[in-house]
Amino acid sequence: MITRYLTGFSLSFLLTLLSFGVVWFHQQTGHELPVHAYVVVAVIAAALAQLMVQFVYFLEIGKKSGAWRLVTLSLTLVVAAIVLGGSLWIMATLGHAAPSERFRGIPSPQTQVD
Amino acid sequence: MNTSLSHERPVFGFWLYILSDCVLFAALFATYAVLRHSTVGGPGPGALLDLPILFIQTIALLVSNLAMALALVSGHGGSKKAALWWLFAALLLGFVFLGLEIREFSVLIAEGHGPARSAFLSGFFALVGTHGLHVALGSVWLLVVCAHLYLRPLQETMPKLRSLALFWHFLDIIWIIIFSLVYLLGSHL
Repeated sequence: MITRYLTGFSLSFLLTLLSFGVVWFHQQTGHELPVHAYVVVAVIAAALAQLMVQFVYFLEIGKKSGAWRLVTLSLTLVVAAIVLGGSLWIMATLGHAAPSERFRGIPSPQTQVD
Repeated sequence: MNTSLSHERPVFGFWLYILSDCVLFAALFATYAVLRHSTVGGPGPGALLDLPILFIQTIALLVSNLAMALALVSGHGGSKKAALWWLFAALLLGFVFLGLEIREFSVLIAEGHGPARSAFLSGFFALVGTHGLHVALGSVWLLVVCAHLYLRPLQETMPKLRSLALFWHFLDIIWIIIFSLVYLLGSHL
């Protein structure tokens, strides 16, 4: 049990270092290296990997006796994805019909705080 | 009945609460994501990134997570004293995290960049603040579990400790998403 937690912690720690390292290096090189797209991919990949590590090593997802955890978590993730993806989709699509630029999320001097 | 299942039974209801909390955070993330460019000339997501402070916060929460897991291991091993010490370690690291977050928020507000400044800042304060509030309330709960552990037999406290550990791990998981998307990639997305 203790080995499992220590493994989970070490992996999480390394992935955190990776994320921060990439962004730190990006800042040090005057936002040139690694290029923008790689920074985004690296940080998101590290975050997803760390989520998996936390699920497996700390939340015990994947243990045979805890199948209900996997089932209920999966359903929650579907709901979360619908909420998040749906909001972004709707708000992005609204922009085509909206008279004001603020619905497209473009900051403009005329934008008012609601 | 399988012993491991009867072990997990008290945690089941709490697990469902945590999942509903996940949906709450999904809504807050969606709000933040939709509003993230509406800065009205105020500071944008990139301006909030203070890499060293964020790193200390992140590591504090991660080590706190480990300390909580080790408290659970000590509890399973029958060592009340060790469990208490690990719980205190988890609490102290939680305070480090909270202290840095309060400092960040108060600096922002003092500079006139409070939640009322722009839609982006409203979304930011709502999301990060709700997570911070969870850590603060979790710390109060942690103290209650400490007192229970100190006063009552270890076996009575174990189900509470298991739920608390689950909650603490969940807070770290939410933080992974916040520090990656809101802070590190704030100016990129």
